[in-house]
Amino acid sequence: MARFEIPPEVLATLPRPIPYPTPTAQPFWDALARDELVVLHCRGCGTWVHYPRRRCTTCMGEDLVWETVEPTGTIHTFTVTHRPTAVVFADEMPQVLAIVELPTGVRLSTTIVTDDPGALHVGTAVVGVFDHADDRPTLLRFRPA
Amino acid sequence: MTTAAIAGYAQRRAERRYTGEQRLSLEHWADLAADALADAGIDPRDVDGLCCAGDVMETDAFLPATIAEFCGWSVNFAERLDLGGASPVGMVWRAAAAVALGLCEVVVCADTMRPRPRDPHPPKLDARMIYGASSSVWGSPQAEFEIPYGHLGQNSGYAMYAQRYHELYGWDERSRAKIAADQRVSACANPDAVFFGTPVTIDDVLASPMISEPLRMLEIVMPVSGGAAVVVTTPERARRAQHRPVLVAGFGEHLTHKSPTYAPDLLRTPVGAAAATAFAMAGLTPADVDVAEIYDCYTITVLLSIEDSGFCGKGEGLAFVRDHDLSFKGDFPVNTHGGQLGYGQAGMAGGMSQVVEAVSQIQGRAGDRQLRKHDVAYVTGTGGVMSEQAALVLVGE
Repeated sequence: MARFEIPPEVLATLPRPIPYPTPTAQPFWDALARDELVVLHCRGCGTWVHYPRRRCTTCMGEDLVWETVEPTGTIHTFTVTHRPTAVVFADEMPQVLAIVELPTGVRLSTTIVTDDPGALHVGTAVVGVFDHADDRPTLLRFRPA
Repeated sequence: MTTAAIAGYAQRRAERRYTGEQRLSLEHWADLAADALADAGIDPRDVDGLCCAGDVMETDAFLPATIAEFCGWSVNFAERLDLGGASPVGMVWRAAAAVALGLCEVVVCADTMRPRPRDPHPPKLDARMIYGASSSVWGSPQAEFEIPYGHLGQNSGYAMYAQRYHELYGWDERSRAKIAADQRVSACANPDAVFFGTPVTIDDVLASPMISEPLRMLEIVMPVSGGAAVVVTTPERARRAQHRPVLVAGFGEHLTHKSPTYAPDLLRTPVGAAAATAFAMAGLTPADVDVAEIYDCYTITVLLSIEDSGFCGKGEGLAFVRDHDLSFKGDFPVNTHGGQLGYGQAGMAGGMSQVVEAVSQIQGRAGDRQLRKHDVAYVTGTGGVMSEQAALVLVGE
């Protein structure tokens, strides 16, 4: 629940939110910038960990290593938004927000790049789209394979 | 566990546009507390515990101490809940546990969402304010991995649950819409509900504007002003109060994730574990329940909660809804006050409305929508995007 009424003219000037990498996740963002997807892998128990953390989400061990994986997966679920989730996304309507699952079981929050959202389903195969821009880190979106 | 009981409650009418006197949140909170204590017939001097949540606008920190000071209470137990919509249910079981342990005897649990007078020195606007429950603070996982893509807020998250549910278990959208229509029947029997006098059909729900596929506007709660409070105390004190004691017979809670992306299993929601704990503690099963007050920020929340609480099997929820009348007149009454979909969602007090309705039904005070059989109520709370859920089994003595 918003605590304050925000005037529309202020909302209109809000910047589009961008990632500001943490030290822990910097290698992930650096990899995206060179069209690579890296995911942390626990050498102790084999768990794949995303988003990046210093400790494994299964065994809490610290022996995590970056591994390069194919930017391919399937749509775990998605929604076509007809109202922006925040005013700064109003010019992207409709957005296809999605959770994509990699073959390792890791899931990522992303968007699907498509002209035909009606053709998308849970399980649709997708490949990564490295969305570069000068004013922010590279984002990893996906499109139908 | 039957060593704590709810003795009384207070609840404000749901209003789109609040017409009463504007007061500080602390004042609205104290008003609710005073009214709930009066309803229970308990002297305010006997209060020795409180549960609150982040809906009191006057402070971001040290809220329990501020409320104790403001109300003039000396308390042995004070909690500020941070479980979103699950906070009210979380308050009630924490209060019951504290009473059962002998820490305290009279605990006030309250949530308020009524306007304050205009702040003559409003704080500077901050871009963070638009991101709501998704933290845009640097270093938060949402700020780095969710918000830049547009993953924020509630609508799209719940829509993604619904999308996956339907693709796995069938596209019966009429049954999902029926949840909203059935609950509206109950809202139309509740003069305090924001949609009192405004029935809707399944077709109306399906014809309402698409917000985030497949969820439509009438499947999403309406924000209103309001507030609600309950008093949790010992069964002995509750027996001396003026209404039927409502025993807190069982409770449970479960949390696994903040963002749906990282849910261990999107369609096995946390309420399943919470319900199993609550029913086992009460020595009851879902078949014993007379009324289910199920947190309903969206229709899909009710559908998944009915399944995962054990009222039917996984994937059977749509058929269950199709085969039962969920209204107060029906064979499986759900959200007899209209639910938050029909009553309105007064911030976190929305979740308390489900607790209050359960108590009201058990105590036989539900007016035109009173159930004939009203001894056992099941209540759930849901916060975040099916992130944190809690359950209560309440039994009339």
